[in-house]
Amino acid sequence: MTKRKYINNASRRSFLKNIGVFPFLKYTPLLSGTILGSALSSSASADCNQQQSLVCVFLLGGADSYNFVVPGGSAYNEYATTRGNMAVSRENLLSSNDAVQGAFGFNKRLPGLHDLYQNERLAVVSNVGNLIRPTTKSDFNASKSLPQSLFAHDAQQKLWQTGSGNLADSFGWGGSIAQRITECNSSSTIATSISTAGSNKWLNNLQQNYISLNPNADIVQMRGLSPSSSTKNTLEALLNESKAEQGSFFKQQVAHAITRADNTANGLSDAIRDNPVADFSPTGRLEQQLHLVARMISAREQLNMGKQIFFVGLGGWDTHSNQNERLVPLMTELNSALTSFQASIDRMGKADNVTTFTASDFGRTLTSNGDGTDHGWGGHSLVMGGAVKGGQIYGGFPSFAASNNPDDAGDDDNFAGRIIPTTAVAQLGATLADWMGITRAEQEVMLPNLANFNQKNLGFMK
Amino acid sequence: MRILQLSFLVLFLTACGGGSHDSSTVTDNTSNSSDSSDTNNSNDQNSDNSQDSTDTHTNTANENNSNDDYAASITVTPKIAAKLLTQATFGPSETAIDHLVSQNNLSAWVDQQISLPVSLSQPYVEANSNGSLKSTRHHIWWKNILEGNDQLRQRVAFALSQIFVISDRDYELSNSQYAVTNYYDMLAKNAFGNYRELLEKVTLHPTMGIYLGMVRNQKANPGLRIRPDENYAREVLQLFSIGLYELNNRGEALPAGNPIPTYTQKTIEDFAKVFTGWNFADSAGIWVSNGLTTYDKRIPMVADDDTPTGESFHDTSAKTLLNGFQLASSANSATATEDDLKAALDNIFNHPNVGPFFGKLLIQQLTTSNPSPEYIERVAITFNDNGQGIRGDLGAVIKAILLDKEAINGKAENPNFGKVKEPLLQLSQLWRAFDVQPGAGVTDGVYRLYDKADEGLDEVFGQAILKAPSIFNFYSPDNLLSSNSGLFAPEMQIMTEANIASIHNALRTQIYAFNNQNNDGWDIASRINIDKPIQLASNSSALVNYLDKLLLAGELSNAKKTIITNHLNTINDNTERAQEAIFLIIASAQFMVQE
Repeated sequence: MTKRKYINNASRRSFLKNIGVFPFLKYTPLLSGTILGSALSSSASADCNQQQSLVCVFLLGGADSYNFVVPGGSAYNEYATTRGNMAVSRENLLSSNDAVQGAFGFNKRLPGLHDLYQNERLAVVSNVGNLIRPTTKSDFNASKSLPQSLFAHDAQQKLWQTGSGNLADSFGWGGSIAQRITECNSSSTIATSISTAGSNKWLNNLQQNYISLNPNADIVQMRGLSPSSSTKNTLEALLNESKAEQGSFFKQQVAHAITRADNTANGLSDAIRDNPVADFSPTGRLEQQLHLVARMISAREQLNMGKQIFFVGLGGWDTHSNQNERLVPLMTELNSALTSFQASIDRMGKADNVTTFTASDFGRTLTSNGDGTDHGWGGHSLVMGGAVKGGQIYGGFPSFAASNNPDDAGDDDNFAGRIIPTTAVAQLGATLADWMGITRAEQEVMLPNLANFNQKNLGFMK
Repeated sequence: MRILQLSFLVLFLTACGGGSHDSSTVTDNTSNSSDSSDTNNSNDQNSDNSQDSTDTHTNTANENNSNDDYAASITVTPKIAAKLLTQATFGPSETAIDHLVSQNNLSAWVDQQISLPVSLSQPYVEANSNGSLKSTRHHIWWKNILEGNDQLRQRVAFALSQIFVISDRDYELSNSQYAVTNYYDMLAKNAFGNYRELLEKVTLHPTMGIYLGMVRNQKANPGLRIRPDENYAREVLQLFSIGLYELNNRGEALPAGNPIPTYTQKTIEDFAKVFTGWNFADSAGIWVSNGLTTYDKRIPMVADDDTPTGESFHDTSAKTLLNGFQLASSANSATATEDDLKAALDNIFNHPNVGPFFGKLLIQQLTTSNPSPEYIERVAITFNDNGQGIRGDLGAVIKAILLDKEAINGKAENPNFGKVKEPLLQLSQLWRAFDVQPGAGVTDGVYRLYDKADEGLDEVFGQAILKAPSIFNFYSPDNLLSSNSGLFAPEMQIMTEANIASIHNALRTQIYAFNNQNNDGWDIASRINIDKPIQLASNSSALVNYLDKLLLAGELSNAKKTIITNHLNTINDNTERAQEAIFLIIASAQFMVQE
């Protein structure tokens, strides 16, 4: 563990001590109660009167987002030369424009997202990635302040989600936002943070467990703990016994997890049943998850939830082989899921308070390995919703030059095309955190590198 | 404060694992097959009796392991027996516990297990699947892990399958069921062999070639602006062998907070060059995308210089590998592709990280999520030298893991000892404890959890053999027990709220509805035998003690015994008492943890 980590933890702890009562302890107990005394949370600036949901769509494996959105004009020729057989041809692009970048194209497999962009409901954040501070090629060559374990999946995924450059940091900025707005949900029994894609770091925070739901299965009550069950009281007594068992952290945590599972099932089953969101019939894996998210957004009032943070994920983006074939169904699903979800939110009349964005481990090499691409660094994120200042690209395109590329972390001899990000995850996170009503001081705690960037808010939210 | 424990977490993403040489001499029936794709039939034998080289391993392990002395001094109580059987098998039965107690020799039990022939999956799958039908490999896997005598071998194969990950969720493997099954059998055969041989078999297995893209990987072509695929190069280092950071034998990445990377991007690029020029064994000269073409994916990949351009696709340039090792240009060699690969795998194998890195992964799979540095060191030392000067002897490593004083004494040695039981093992333990039998209505002998036997099971458990979501397995070795915990709990990653609820309901149905006393309902559902619990049920306390020994390795506290006993005493019917007692234990936190 680094010194930096100590500082972060210390500052987080002192921060936590200074704030109010944490309302979720009643059902998300933490490890052995040792830190419960210092409970927590909530930002003075969060406006609980405004309902809000933030949805992170994580493209697991490192999506080749340089083929989602492709530069036009003379930059296209550089792009095409560098990408070789990975380039999207001009006829497969849907034309768009940005006031600064000029003409560019969306991949024709993303027609719905193109429409949203044209209607100014979707923005592109260009070449964003894990950075500790603004980084040039000479910084990279000198190994100056680089995120740890660049180009490794799990490491970069974790850093994207924690907004840190250090793998020792384990708290995600989604969870940190949730922790500071959770007072808006004080009368709800459901956790502010919900994952439909299993475990992740983005929702990890100090005080409150997020819950993981399974989009493929009904949310059903645990029958051995149901009120009519003969075993309910005895099983609860056994769980309480385990929770109190000093020296057995595993039993304690598993017992808490069982209780959390029971509370979640009990708290959600009615609301989910009552909010079918039947106008959205999901087919793919991502659509199933976003459909469940839509149901929970539809149920916000019933669940007494003012604020919600969601993590959904779609795997399969690690396209080292057969990329041109494999990206077709992936992009098709991404396009369909995001547009169906947005349409459903629009019909609920909640577009202005639901914001969805994409993220990924890293972008991929601009160059080809024959039939695929390898691990890169920067990539594009898409942000959509009624509160987004869409129809614009935020942050410029990087250079796509095949040689002497100032943004390339590799060398020409290896035709690398691992593009150094020109915008940091911390800036993207801060912009969304601003929208959620998190103060700058709090942002700098949850996004430890934010202070190193002059522009904190990228301006893509209204 | 618990959170301070974070500060001493060693921050290396241990992943990886182990393997061993193909010591088992089991004949690979399919390797001579020249039939295309997955349509070959091999013999029906489900168990191979040849075992010469496993015997050799037993001997080396015996002579080396100082743990033997310790293990030999242990009087085997039912509690100690049940603990070892929980760590080393798919769940203890009463018979197995009693047998181990009377054998009174943990070391002899491990040796015996290592010597047993492997229960194979492939013959069954080839007889019952057309190569695309996915259910059969799950059917035979469950049959083998429930019925097979080679429990330790299957348990280690299961562990290896979660380290050297392939998955038929990948679309190119989903229609290659013979090949995926062949891969699992390969792991089982090599479970107690040498890591170096296992690493080569993993590297050259066509399913891995597809999964991580090494098959038909070509050297750079400046004209086309293409360069070698880096996928296998990166993951073999990060996940299968050495990990991201330099480690000492204690598994510590030092200096803490600023660990030293084991390799650079340039190293990856040079390893990527090594792994060029390989093709499916029966498709020489065909270098198109492997997408939907059908080749026999059970035969190891081969170096193939028969390329469309007439020039080898292997990169023969000089390469710098781990620890600065210089691999000279192989341009003048006729066997450059093979030679470079062997030299590179030797380079990986001899990296000092493999013992602690891979050893810790195996420890986490079998005994404890947070081994002490001393435990890791003892296992790493055995990896480095089995006592006879042999590095990478996996039989010796497994024995060192299971017979270590930390594994045997648990919390008395290390207060953080223990792990969360992975979901599939919760079901297998319940089934094996109560001698599960396939439903009376089935003719195929398949074990089913109500109607689910294969694809459906992972919806309930979040886990199924060789069906992980990615190369990073179902869970990460450094998944935290909870957000604010300093302890790792890899399996907790799939014990989500959703999975906990579905497992709870599934096991409840198994216990109450699908037991041998209840003949109603689905006759395809497997039935557990609850005769013995019913027989004991007139004495609640005797019943609870029996279940404690069988299901909880005798770890149930007196307070919990009292809670359960009091509950049972309110029930008059013995069958009902038995069911209720089993369920209360299975649904408790205690059952989901092994300590």
